[in-house]
Amino acid sequence: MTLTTPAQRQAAGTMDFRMSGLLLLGLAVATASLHTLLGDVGWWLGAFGMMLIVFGTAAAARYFFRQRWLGTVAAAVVGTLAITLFFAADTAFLGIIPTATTFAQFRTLMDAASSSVAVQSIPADATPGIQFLVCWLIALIAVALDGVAIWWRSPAWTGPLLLIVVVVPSIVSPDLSDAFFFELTAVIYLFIIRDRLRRVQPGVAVVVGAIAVLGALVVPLALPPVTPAKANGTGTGLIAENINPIINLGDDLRRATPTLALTYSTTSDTGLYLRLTTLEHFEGKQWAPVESPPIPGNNVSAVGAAPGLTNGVETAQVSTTIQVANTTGRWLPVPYPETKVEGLKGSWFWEPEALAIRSQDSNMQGQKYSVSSLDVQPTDKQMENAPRSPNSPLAVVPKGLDPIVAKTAKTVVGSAKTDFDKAVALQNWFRGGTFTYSEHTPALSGFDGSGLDVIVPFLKSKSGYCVHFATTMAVMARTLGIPSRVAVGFLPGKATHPKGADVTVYKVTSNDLHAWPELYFEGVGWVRFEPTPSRGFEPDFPSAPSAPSTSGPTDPSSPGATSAPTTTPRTAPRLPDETTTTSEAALTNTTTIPATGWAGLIALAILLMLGVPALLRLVMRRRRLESVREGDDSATRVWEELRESARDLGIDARVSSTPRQLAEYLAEYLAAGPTPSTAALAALDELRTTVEDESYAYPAYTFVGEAMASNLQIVLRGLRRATPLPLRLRAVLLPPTLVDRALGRSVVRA
Amino acid sequence: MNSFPAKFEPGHADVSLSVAEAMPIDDFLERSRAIVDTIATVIDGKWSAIDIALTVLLAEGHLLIEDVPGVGKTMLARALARSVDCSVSRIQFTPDLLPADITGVSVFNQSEREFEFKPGPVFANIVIGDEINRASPKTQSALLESMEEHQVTVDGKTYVLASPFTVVATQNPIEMEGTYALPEAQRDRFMARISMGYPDPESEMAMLRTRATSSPLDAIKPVVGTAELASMIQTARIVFASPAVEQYAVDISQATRRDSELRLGASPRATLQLVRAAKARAALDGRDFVLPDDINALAIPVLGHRLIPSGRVGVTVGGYSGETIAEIVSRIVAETPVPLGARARR
Repeated sequence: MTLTTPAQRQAAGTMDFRMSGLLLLGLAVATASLHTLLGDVGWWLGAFGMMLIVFGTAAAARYFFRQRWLGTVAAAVVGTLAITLFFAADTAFLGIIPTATTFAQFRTLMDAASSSVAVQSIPADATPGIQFLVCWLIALIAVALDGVAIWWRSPAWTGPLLLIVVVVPSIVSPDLSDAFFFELTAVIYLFIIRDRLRRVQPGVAVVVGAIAVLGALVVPLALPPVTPAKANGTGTGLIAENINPIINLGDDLRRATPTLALTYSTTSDTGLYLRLTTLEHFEGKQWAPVESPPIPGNNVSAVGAAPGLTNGVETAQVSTTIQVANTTGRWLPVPYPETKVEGLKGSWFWEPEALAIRSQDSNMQGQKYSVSSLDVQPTDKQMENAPRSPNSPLAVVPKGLDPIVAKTAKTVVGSAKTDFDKAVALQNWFRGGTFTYSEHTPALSGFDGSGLDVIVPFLKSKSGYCVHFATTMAVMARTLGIPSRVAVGFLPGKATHPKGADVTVYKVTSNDLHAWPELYFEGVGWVRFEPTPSRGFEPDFPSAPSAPSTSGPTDPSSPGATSAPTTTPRTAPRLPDETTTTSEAALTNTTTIPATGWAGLIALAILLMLGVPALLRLVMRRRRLESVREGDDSATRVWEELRESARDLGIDARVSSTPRQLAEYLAEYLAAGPTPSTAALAALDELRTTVEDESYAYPAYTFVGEAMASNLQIVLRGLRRATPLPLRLRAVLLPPTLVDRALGRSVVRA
Repeated sequence: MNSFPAKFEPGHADVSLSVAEAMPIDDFLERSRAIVDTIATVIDGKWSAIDIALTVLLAEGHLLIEDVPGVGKTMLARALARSVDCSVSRIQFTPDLLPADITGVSVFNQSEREFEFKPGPVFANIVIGDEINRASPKTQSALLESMEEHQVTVDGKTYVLASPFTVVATQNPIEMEGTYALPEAQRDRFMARISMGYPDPESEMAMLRTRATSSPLDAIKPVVGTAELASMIQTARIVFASPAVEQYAVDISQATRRDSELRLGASPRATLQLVRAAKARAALDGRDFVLPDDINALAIPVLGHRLIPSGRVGVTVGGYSGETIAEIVSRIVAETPVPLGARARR
């Protein structure tokens, strides 16, 4: 389509504005349909800001340069700069020009987003990665929408693009599609293609419209249901039937609403760590539990002795009654080391090494049972003096482990001599404040697992959850020669109320799912450690000042090493240089943006939105004045501007008024103002005369543009002064002529 | 006073009129003011009627004055005629008036032994047709034909009329008894129609005083000669109408043709006369170019009598009276954007 006359060009121009507005509206509504996937509204406001920037840039570029293609290209460029500014300003040249580092950061954010998407339950938190992903995709789609609808003049093709956005929730799960936003988007789409439809036969238009609306209704239903990536809160239980309970632990911990796992009442003074099983085999990818076949003889009514525990260690009897709620699984949560379990339904047996209680045919869900267990209370002396068990298979360092781990372990334990001191040093290092507990960092940074490859990233980021602390400490212990394994189970939970004299009732939820390392000490057996900061409690080893009642050997050669774990926390040494890498820096940066940047961005977007009409009107006036000065149909332009400015101020200025009539009317208006300006009246008269001469008298070929422009400005100033403040404010912030123009109405009444 | 030869010879109409020189605008204004002042001594408080009458005279149009009897229609016509030193004739239209009574007849001259044309009252610079709608259509058309063509054909011979030539006709509203309404085609020949309206009380009082002794009409002395009038007409003719103004006139005419309230819109002749009248008005305002305001002000007098409403207008049915013609024209004018700029839209 070629535009020949100015009128046509102008009509096309206003069409573009309306189209940009419709596209903005359509994409904003389509994006809002993602609310079923992402919690909160901050992400939407961010995306909306991005849309404003893209469509605004496109419209402005088109308005100024009168080139359709230029709008789309400018939008793409400014969109890129904006994303750079918001997400990777510090890596960019001058804050907005992307560099190679910027793209690296984008990749990091993208990876973070994909892992975050993979691990989060729905509705997900809009992490910086997800915000980046949303903004980036929305900007991309906005540019594409602008391109097809305005550059290529094929508004119909906006349909598939908008569809991409609105079907996302349906793809994740059919339950998540929001029909309201879907249909609203379809309606806006009809408006977008309306001009096209008008040109074709009315019948065809009706058919296309009907298909669009029907499609909007049917498509969400017809889409193939894809099984949700995550189990949702109430339906399925925790842990599920997985062979390896550690795999889903991160997901279970990240549940938006914790579910009740079990309750127990116990005679113990403190809460009990309830253990499901232990993971001993470390093959690089995962820690795996011991898989022993059912042992018929191992009846749970008499569980075998705890491995390695000798009579010299003091023990106390503990009775616990456990009621399992909404948790399924083949392993039974019990305090270690249990001696007897009663009241179970189905056949259960105990595994000799881990003392885990397992069933082939039954499930723990809903079971109520009582457990007798021992509270093993070794003294610190006994721990100190425990000899190292030679050639333990559980002290084998896995192949392919980064030597940095062993090196770090060595640095951490420093001068500690005994295995116990070393273990305590490791534990204190983790709990000492250098590390933070986070269920999200590993997911974002892509080490959400228990494999060999998560250890180094975890040590670098110093942030993770129990699995990372437990596995890392276990592996580090092995590098120091201490046999180790990882126990999986529940934290003691929360004491709710006492029941009877010595019995306390505890409540355990999915948030209490936990993993911790167990280290083997000859004579004492498997001892629990707690490296995870802010979770659980450290094992207590009473010192033995009086003569020990046990027969455990004492080591007089190391009296200085009797430090209790809590009293001498050793300062955590920093890891060698690798810790401060760009990726770490990048992660810190992106996590600080949401705190301050998003609020600022939203405020900026709102300000921008408020300022857009004023800016557009100002630009329009500037351009008109410019062409008046240049003598390009000055009379028409100057009078148009006067008329529209008057109309913006709420003055009834009509196109059917002759210059003389309007001038008379405006003169009355000026005279009625609080401080009538004679200068404005004179300027108005002069302006009217020049406009009449220019328009209706013999062509004079005198140059009056400059005078017209300055007279116009004097008149406008006078008119503004004569107008009450509210009307003046409206004229600036929401000029009626601009609104009319945007709505495609005639700007000034006849 | 009579500028016609005693003996009439047939000839061809000189459409381009006499080639009078345009006069300086100040002289034009002075003389036009003199005419207005002269008429005003007879017609009290009817400035707009006087203005339009003069405008029509200077635009070489014909004027139709329509109103109830006794409001000074004929007085205005006669005052206008007498203020200019030119030939004036007056025809009182009656139902038995014949066409020959207007155009003139061929009489057999005994001494010359040939037919001699005796010109009728239409051969004058200003012809006052009183109560034009009382004559039969046949007679009406005899006058109206000469108005358009500036010539009269009798017995196969064509006689050119005087120049300048203006007919000022009066008529009673068609509701009055014993009248023949002018057909549309003939109404279209008049450049403008005005109605006098009743005088306001002060003017009526003043009239009583001035008419007590003598007719003020007798006191009127011509203030402009024929040659001067021709020159004034030429001055008005050369007023500049810009493309934007022409556009405006065309837009208004076009709008009357589209309006749903109107059965018949303005003819192209109406547009032409609108612009012509606007030129005269501009000149009377001391301008050498037409403003949209001129078009605006003349829209009702120039277009009103040519339009035919589509029905309800003017007829009171159950208390509802549709828009009058004047209201319709006002509305159309108020809905038509005023073109600006040296270039008109294409």
